Amino acid sequence: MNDVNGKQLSVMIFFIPLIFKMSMLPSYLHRTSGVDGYIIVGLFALAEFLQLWAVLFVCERGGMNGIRERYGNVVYLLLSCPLLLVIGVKSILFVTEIVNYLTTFLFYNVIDAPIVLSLLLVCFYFATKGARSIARIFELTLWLLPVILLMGLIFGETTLQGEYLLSVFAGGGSSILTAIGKYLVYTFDFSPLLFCNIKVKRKIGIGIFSLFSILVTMGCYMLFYCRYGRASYLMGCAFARLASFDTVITEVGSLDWISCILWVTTAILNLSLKLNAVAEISTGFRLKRHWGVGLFTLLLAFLLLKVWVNVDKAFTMASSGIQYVVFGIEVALPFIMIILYSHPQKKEPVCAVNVNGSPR
Amino acid sequence: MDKKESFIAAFYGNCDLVVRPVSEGVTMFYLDGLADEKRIAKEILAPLLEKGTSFRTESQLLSLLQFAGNVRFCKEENEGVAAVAGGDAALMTEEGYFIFSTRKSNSRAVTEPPTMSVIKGPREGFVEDVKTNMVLLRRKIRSNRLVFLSLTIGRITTTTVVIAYVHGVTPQKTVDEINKRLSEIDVDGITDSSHVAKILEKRPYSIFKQVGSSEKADVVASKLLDGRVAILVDGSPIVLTLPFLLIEDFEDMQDGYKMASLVTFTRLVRLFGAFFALFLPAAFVAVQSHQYQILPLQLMITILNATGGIPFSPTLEMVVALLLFEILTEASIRMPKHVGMALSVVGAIVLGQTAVDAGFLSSITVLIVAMSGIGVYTVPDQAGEIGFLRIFMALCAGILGIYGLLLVTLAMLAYLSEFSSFGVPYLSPFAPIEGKDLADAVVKKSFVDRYIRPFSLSTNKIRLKKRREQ
Repeated sequence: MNDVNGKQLSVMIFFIPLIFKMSMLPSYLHRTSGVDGYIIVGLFALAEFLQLWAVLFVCERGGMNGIRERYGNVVYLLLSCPLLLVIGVKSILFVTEIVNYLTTFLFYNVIDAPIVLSLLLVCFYFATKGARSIARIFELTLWLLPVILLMGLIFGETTLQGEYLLSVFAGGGSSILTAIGKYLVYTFDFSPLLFCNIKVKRKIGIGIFSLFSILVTMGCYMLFYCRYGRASYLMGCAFARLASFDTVITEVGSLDWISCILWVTTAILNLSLKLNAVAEISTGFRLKRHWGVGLFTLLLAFLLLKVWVNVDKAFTMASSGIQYVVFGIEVALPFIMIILYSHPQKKEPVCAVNVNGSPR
Repeated sequence: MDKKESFIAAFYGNCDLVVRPVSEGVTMFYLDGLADEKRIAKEILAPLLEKGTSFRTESQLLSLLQFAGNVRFCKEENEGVAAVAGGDAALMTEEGYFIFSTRKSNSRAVTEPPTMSVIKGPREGFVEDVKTNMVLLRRKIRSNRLVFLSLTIGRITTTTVVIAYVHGVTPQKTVDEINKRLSEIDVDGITDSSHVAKILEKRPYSIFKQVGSSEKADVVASKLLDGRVAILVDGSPIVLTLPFLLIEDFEDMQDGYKMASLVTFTRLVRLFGAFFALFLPAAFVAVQSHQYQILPLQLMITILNATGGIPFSPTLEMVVALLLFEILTEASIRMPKHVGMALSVVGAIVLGQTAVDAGFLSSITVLIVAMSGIGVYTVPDQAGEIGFLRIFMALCAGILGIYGLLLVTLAMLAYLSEFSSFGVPYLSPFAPIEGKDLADAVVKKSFVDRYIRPFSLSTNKIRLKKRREQ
């Protein structure tokens, strides 16, 4: 159910760090630190891929399930329960970003409730299907990328101003540190992979893809700032803006529909992967996967409809002190697991069996 | 009750049971019409009446009957009864029953199947007789590696089911799994291969096809060479193939006989046809109901002019039109051939035009439904699934627009991505991506470049050992 192969992992590590960094974050970063945003996001991506290698190291040794087998359910719950907080905070922020995007781009004068509920319903469904299904849909989604590029190549009218990128470190190092401190919640998205059974044959491929993903993330930011310059801080979902290539085709309608679909799809898959982790954690409480993720989704829906009802409120919550707790958990967890795995396993006494099959 | 009466009583007074006394204590039994009476008379009864019935063993009997073919001996009455019910003849003696294979072949001639007529390629279609079908496959694959395993399914029907595969090409675990699943069936009877297909399907209530089928020997032979398993059922001209992948329905039986580059183009047309059939009605509803802003101004004005004055909401209008289309399709299939043609013409032209003139449906809706309907039949094997899904999608698009359409599509893909057919993912080679198989999925490779078998299906990958010399 949670088996992920090397190719699927490559596709996932291309999309997972990119999707929510290419939503509201480019404008937030531009607001805080100007065009230095692309350097900051490069640092974010680099840190995220360091986490990925730690996660892969753990997954090779059995991941979270291996911990349960070695140390029992109590240790498994002690390690995995803090992730519920991480997933909760990030899910609230990301769902509000998706809803904000949908209600800005796709719907006019529409209430958020049906969007939130239908979105969570589909994420719940994906989560019950497991990481293998999610990874396969990531693979299918990949086919939209060449379509976007092809359409952009044919119809694109984007004009880029390279000089918009040149005032690097204009605000000194402090603005970069401020931005890093403020938007930490947008990094370290690979923790849900701890619950997957990842089979990678060639690590070099993953390494190349990691590097490629960092460069693509930085490149997207650079293109975005080149295009919008100082107006970048006003722009909503950066991915859809960028992928539309500034074109509305007069014959067949808006070109940015393909990019909208790609962004929404990958955002849903990203969220579903987090909920899949919740489903796995719930098995530690002797709950069935769908019950666990169902309860969590209901709680999430309640919070999104009653407390953090829009992206500003959600961002205020996610960028408050809680982001340091989230950051701490995400950094510490893989390393704790590495330490636990490095501890030699106690050999269980072999129980001799007689010819009748019962213990002597 | 003596032995003979007991045997007759086992047939509950059947009128077609023929009882032929041969000599004192020796009687011949067979079913009228099912067994070959001429053969029985010429090869069994005539020599016995001439040479007498002083035999005790099979070899003694065979020395008397030189042309009688296969003979086996059984002691139990129920075995003899089962053999006679299956079309064999039973010669009852004091020792037991001698069973002769005398089943008469009442099969129709091997002709081109009406559902799979071709312009290019072989025209042999399967018939209802399983033995004829086995011969048709043998003639395509003349090798000892083509293996037929026979099973009997059905407590009452005792239907012969044959599993066919190419040894060393098909993974043995797939054969074993299918054999196991079929052997476990305990049912009173099956009358067609579709019953076997239902038994092999893991999700019986799913709308998606899970078992492949074909009526043509060349198609089944090429699937066997790919590493699949075929299941032949006596009494059915449709042969099942497993594992089944979704992409198979986008491939045509004639693809292998045409120019590779043209086939690639045709496959793309089929894919686009299916895509438009599935999404066009829903997208039109979404655009009309929610996202009209994505349309260019001129197109929007045209649509607004065409849809003005229609008494229904866009969703209801589309669903009604799609349902009418489905009703027309169903009626024209069930009608006699010529009436059906007339009905479809009346339905398409007269009803459509009248509905538009009456202001019941907009002309664009009729156009969209017609285009979608044509698209459905670019992939005829998926017509049922697409027909159902496009109505469902139109409803979802009516509720949440393109966002709703996207969510339903994603949920559908999640459902399909979890599917597997005997260990092979249903969406292979697209999800999971199987690079080598991908090259022959949409893009058709030339026969001389297809030097490997599908990776996801077969254990023996090499198909063509020596490539064409340039």
